[in-house]
Amino acid sequence: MKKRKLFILIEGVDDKRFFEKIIKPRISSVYCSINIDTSAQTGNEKIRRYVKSFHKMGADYIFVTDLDEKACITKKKNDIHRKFRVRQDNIIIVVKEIEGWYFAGLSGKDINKLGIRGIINANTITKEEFNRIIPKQYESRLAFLLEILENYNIRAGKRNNESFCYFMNKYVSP
Amino acid sequence: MKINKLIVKNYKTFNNLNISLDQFNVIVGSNASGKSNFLSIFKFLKDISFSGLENAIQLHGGPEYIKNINTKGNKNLSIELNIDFDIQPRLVLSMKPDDQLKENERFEGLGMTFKELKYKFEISFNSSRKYKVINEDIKFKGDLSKLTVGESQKIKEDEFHKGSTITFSRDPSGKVTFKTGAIQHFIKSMKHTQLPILPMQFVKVKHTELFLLEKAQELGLSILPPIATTIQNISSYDFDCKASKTATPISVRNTLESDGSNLPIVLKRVLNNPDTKKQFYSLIRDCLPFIDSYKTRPLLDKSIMLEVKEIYQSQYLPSLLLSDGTISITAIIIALYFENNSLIILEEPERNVHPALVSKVIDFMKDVSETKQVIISTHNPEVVKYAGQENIVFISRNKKGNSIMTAPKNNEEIQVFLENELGIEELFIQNLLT
Repeated sequence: MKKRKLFILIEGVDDKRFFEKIIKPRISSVYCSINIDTSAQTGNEKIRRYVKSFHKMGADYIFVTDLDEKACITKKKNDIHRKFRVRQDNIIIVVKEIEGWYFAGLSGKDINKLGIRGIINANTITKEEFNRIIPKQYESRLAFLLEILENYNIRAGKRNNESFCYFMNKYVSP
Repeated sequence: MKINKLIVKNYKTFNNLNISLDQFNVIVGSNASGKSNFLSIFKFLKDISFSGLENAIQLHGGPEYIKNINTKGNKNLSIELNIDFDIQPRLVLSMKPDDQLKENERFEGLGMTFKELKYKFEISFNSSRKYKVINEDIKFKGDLSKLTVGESQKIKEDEFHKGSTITFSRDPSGKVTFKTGAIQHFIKSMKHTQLPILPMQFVKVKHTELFLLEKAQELGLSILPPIATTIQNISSYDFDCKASKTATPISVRNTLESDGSNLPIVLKRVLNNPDTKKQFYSLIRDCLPFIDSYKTRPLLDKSIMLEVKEIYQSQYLPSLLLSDGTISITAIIIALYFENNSLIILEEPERNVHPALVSKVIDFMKDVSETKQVIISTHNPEVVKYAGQENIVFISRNKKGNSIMTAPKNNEEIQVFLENELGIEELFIQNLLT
């Protein structure tokens, strides 16, 4: 059977790094090519045109967006559907922000080793909270993100963040 | 002349390349996708024709780097190119001896109009960095005509056979064979003299030489359209603005060097001729309207320096004080319009050019491509935007690290994106041209 192409529309560069490093290698055997494109600098009209094109060519696509301050996943999905005509089934809501997916991949052992104190919930962590817990030994935020990706623990990720677990079960492996 | 097809196997990052080329070709791809390696195929051919195969291989990194390093074993390297002649060379292949001519005839000959040429060679490598030419073929294809000159002195041409071929083939032992297909039959039936071509049994070819590209003319094959001259008419440029801004010794070539380092000398030649001078100024002012004039100033150390006067000042500025963009555009115009070449290759020509001027520079290239073939490489979305999707060839690396080239115009998915008003440059930025 001819392999299909997959288009993944994500929000920003941090999301792109995460999908390139953690997701793409795990689904690359299923698709002939996987395009991960950021929509952060793309206007709403352009996003609508991309989605319209995916529908017309019958391509597989995933629209990934953060929950942000929206209280409810269903409401966020409805908003995205109304705004960009994305089919509800193709929308993945990252709870709350992509930093939650990054942080979820740290096992308890890693958290202790890095000297991160306090109880932090990967389902509720925001960008600002994430930035506050970056261990001092890292020169920058990016250095910390890259370190997490290098040592990402998928089992911990699925255990610690419900939306990441949902995504992995739906698209990668149950 | 137009190189309309290129088939390359086991060369640098290319495992198996088969690409059709048009008059204007824009090779787009990200960093390390293989753009420079693609352009180097033409440079390699040119280096063979000027310096011989052995030197050309060395100039491109030696046997271990000219091959595709991903390829396991000693797979052969081969290059094949098809060339269409725009000005079709016409030759008298044979003629009837004088004593057999009728009374009212002064000349009767068999003529051939050459339409296309196919050239191919294959090299094998062994583990001790040695190489050997396995085969080399050249095939000329054209139409045959009976030529007669009557009392009116006019040549009468009657075309009677299309698609005739003349082929030279060289096998792994170095033996060269020459085939004329139907031509020989016509020569006999018309009671003509034989083809004036050297008998091939006398030709001895070294296994490290490409004789058709290096030695054909020495061997008396110059009556046929020479492949070497065709290849030598390729001009390849990768401008270095810093080099162009410095003074140039007066004793250098007056054809533009690949890095543009002798720009002052070449510009002097262009400005010395009133016709080329007028054309040059109209082109440069179309792009850079603030240019008043150029001049070259001889220096005491037997070099010359380029100087430019802008409309804002009364004095000339030495080229060292000029912007890189001004130098780049000057060099691009010279390369496109004022050099004797049939194929122009420009590596990232827009490098120092302001985005607002890119459309004009691309327009120059399209203009020139009406008469000469132009190939450029870029990763600039502005160039992609103005080049037109029909002229774009996208290059990328596959999972094995081999470079692959695809034309967006043949990709249905890309056409869907374009139908939905997503620009080709947007698709390039989003890496959707694969």
